[in-house]
Amino acid sequence: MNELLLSEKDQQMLDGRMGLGTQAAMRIVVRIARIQNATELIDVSHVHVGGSIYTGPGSLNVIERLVEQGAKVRVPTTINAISIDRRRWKDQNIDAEFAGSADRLATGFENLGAAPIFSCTPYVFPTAPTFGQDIVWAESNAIAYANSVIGARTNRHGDFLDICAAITGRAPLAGLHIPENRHGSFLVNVPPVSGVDGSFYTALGYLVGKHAGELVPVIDGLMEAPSLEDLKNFCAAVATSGAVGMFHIVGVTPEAPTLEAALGGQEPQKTLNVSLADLMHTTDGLSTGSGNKLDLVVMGSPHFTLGDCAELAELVRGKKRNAKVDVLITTNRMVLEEATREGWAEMIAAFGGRFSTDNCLCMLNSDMFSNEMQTVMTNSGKFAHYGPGLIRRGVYFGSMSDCVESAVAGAPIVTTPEWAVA
Amino acid sequence: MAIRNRVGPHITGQKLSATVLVSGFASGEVRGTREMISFWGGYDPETGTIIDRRHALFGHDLTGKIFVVPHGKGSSTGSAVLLDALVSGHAPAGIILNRTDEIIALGVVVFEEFYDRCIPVVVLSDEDFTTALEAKCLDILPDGTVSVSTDDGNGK
Repeated sequence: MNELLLSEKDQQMLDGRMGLGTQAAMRIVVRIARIQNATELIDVSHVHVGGSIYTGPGSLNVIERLVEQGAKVRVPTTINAISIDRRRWKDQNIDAEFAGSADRLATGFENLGAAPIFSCTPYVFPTAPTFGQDIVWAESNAIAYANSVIGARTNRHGDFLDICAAITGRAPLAGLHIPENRHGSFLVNVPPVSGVDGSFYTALGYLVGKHAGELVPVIDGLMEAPSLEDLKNFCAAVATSGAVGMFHIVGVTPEAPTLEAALGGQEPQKTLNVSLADLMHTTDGLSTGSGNKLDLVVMGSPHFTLGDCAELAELVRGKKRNAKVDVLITTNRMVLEEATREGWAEMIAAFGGRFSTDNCLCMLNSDMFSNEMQTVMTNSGKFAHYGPGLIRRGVYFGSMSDCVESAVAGAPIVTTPEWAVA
Repeated sequence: MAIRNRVGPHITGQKLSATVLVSGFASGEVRGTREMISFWGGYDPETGTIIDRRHALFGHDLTGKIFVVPHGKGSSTGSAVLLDALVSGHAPAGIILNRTDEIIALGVVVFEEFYDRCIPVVVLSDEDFTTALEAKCLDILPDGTVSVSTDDGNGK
C-alpha cells in the first residue's frame, strides 16, 4: 500500500478551506486515489463529465448538493449527452416528470460551470485535448478515443469522479496516466481485408473487447487507414463488450508507429489471430431482432459526426423511407448546424430521417414506444448491445447502407458486408 | 461431515481475506457470476434486476444479495446507476470482486460521502474468488474478512 502524498493546495481543499463542495469533491478524489494505490494527484487540463445521463433521484441530489455548496469547475469542462432533447422532448413521448429531472441534472452541471456541448463524442469539438495531456474523461467510447487516437491520458473513470476532478482540477496518478501502463499487452492480428466499412470496425472492436480483459490491445495488419468514424465505431464497440480504455493500431494511432513501439519492447501477454469467420460470427451475434416488419431505424450511438451525416446524405439521395418506418438519428447541436450548412441535414430530412440533439440512443427506454413498435434496426454496435435491455425489444444490426435500404423496404435487410466476402 | 453454520458473527465456516475498497458489514445469499457486468444498461436501479439479456444472470434480482462478480465493464455511468440503486434500496448488500474496479467502488464511495451509509466492496484473489462464487451465503466484515457458510442460515 503506497502512501498518498498531497500538495498543500490539495490539503487545503480537503480541510474545507475552499468551500464545502470542493471539500466533498476532494474527499472523493482522495478515496479513489487510495483505492488505486496512487502516490500523488496530478493536474488535469480538461474534463468531460459523463454523469449527465439521468439515472435517478440519488445522483441528481448529489449534483444539486454540490451546486448548493458553491462548487465550481476549475478546469475547462464539457458535458456528455443528456437524457432528453431539450428542444424536442415534448414531441417525443417523454414523461414530463422524467424530462424535468433530466433537465435539472443538466442545469446542475451547467451551474457548476461545465459547457453544455451535450455530446458523447467530445473529441470532434474544438475543445478536445491534444497529445500527452492529462485529462479526466467519462463516457466509455470517448475514453478509448482520447487515450488511443488523440494520445491524451485518462483513466476509465466513473461518473462523479469526473465532476470531482473538474471541481478540484486534480486526479489520481494511476493507470493510463503512467506511460508504462499504456503499452500494448494483447496482440490482435487482423487478416488482409478489402472493402472495409463501419461495420467491420464495429465487429472488430466488439470481438477485441470481449477478449481483452484488462489488457491493452494492439491491432496489427490493417491495410487501410481508418476514418474518424471507423475509429469512433471501434472505440464504442471495444468499450462496450469489454473494459478497454486504451488500444493501439499499428501505423495509425500516435503511440504505435511500429508494433515494437506499441508493445513497449515487451512480448505480448496474449495473442489473438482474427479470422473473417470470427468477425462475421460477431456481426451476426449483434443482431437480436426477429420478424420481417421494420418499425424503427436508429443511428448515432455514439453521436453522428459530420462525416456520418455526409455518408448518410449520399446513401439516401433520391430515396424515401417507407411511411411506416421511423428513422431517428442522434447527434449534437454543433454537428447538426454544420450538417445543415452543408445541405446534408436537408437531404436526410427529405428521405424522412429525423434528428434529435442533446440526447443519444442510449437514453431511449421502453416507455417511449408503443406496443406496435416491435422491430428495430441500427448500425451502432453499442446500441445493438445495449438496446435490447433498454427498450426491451430485439434489435437488428446492419451497415448504414443496410439501415437505409431497410427503411425504404419497410423490412430488415441485412446483407453480407463486402469485407466478409474473401 | 457438513457443519451447520449460522450467518452472523459466530460463523465457523471458512474465512477468506479480501482487500477492502469500501469498508462495511454485509450478510446474505450469494448471486455469483464469472461474467463481467455493466451496471449502466445492465442493471435496473429501481428494481435491482439484471436487464442485460446477454448476461448469465439476466432477470435475477440482486437486491440485498452478496453480488460476486469479477469486474465491471462498459459504461462509466455504472457508478451513477449503482448509487441510484443504493438510494432506492435495490442495490446488492455487498459486492465481491476479483479485481479492483474503480467505477463500482466510486458509486459506493459517493453514497457514503453524501448519504452517510454504505455497503462493503472487497476484492478476493483468484482461488478465494472461486470459493466465494460457489458459496451459498457469505458474510463480509469491515476488515475484509469474508466468511463462507454452506447453508442459507435458516437451517434446511
